[in-house]
Amino acid sequence: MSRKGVLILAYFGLLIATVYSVTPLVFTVFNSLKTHQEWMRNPLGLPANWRFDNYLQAFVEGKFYVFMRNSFIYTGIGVPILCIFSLIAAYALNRINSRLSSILLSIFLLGLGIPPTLYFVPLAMELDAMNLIDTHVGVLLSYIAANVSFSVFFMSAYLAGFPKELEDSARVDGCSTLGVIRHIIIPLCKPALVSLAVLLFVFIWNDLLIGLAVTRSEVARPIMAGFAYFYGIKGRVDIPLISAGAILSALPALLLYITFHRSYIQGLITGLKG
Amino acid sequence: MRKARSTFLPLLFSLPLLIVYVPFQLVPIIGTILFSFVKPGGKLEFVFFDHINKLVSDTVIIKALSNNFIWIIFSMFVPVIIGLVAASLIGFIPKGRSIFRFLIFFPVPVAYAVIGAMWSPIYHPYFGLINSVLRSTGLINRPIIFLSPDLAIWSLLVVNIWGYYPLTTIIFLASLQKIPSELYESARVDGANVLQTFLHITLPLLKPAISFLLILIMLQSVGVFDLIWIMTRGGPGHATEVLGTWAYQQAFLFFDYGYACTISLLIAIVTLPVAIYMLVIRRGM
Repeated sequence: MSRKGVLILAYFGLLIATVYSVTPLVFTVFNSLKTHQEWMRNPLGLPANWRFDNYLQAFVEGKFYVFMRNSFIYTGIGVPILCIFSLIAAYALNRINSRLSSILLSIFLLGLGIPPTLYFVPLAMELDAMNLIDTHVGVLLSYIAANVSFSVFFMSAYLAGFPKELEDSARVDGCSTLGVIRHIIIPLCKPALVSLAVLLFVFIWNDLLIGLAVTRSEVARPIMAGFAYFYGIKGRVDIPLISAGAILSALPALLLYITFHRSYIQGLITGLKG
Repeated sequence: MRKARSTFLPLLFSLPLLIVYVPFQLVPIIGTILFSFVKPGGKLEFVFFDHINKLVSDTVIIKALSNNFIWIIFSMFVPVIIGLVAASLIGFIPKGRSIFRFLIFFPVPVAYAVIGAMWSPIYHPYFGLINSVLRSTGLINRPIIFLSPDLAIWSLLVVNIWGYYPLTTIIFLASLQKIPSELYESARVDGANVLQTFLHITLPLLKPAISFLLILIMLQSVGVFDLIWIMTRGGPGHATEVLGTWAYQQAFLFFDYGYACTISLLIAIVTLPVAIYMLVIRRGM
């Protein structure tokens, strides 16, 4: 086969992959703009006119405004805490070589890759015993804890890769440890911090199991758990409404991906491969 | 003074995370092991063998284990193969790389809960995309019930692959970009065709990425919950039950926390050999 033929085949293959990737999203957007009757008449085509009633209904009656607000609270507080403190911890553990450092690092890495499926029941029992079940504080603590290992691992992988000379010269100039972190490490780590922040936002936003396990009512329920209940009730009866809910739930993470897709992909590569 | 400070600095700087991480992740992990053996509460009551008895006589466990197994195998190999092909194609084409990359990766930040909801209308027996297309082309007379007991687990796997292959593509693309272009040049000078180049240059250099991905996917597949919970809740019957969904129902439907922990422990035991293997590999790399 000629090189040109191979090239045409390659583009064709990629076109199929693109269609496979994008079709469900596009259909969901189309469906979300229809009424239920319109969907049954015309399940595949474009909506006759753009109605956003389903979005409004999901947002208000479906209580998505509560779930989304909750998830914005968890990501808004959890992501900065994880970013800042994992940087500080990873910095100390990487730069000070002692027995204590290596013990602490191993403790941090114990939780790496452990899915919530392995511990959600005792977590719920514990929060119950502490009267933190179904509270914002309880959910927030669960989300921070679930992402500590990954954050510390991510920051140490990044920090291990760059030279100490700059810090040393800053120290000679009389900078304290916190000063070094503030004036040298944080600026140098900015790209890694952006990647980590985007990844953590998506992890926390997209979590389902922890959200289901540690909430009992709508008060503190995060978005995906809220969506799961909504889907359980409306999933079989009103596809357009569910589609609007799906788009609403996915939108913040999607927008973040569209804005930061380079950082996001770079972060995934660093985070996955170390 | 300085010495003492730097000795405890790692602890001091780790403390803010430790006070959240230890009680709300490490302790619950220990709890999973503990409550598989003893009853929660004040009195020490050894219930491990009760749980084992229940586990052995629980027919759903067999179904869940076999579903987990199917899930692991297909989630491991299919996305890796598709990702390998997609990444090679993206690396191969001279123009339009970034747009294809952007579009193909679109599912990556979408939550599995949402992915499940997006695919349900596609699988719908009467109004779904696949059935409509197949019917209008005359390939079928009767709708295919994708979420029937026989087909459901496979239908869910297709969705899982949809969500997963962009990720494998990303990793492969990153590894491909590290391969020096001189290698390809010299292969072309030697008269190697596209397939030969792929088999003898690309594939061997991607080997670390492949084995890494297989292990990563395996670890994540053992604990699968979100997608199955949204799409079928482990049903119809228990046709799509996996250990994760069964543990969840034991805990929050039947309120048998101890037994739920035992199932979680079973997940951990299934994962353990791979986790250890991965640690060894990591150290070697």
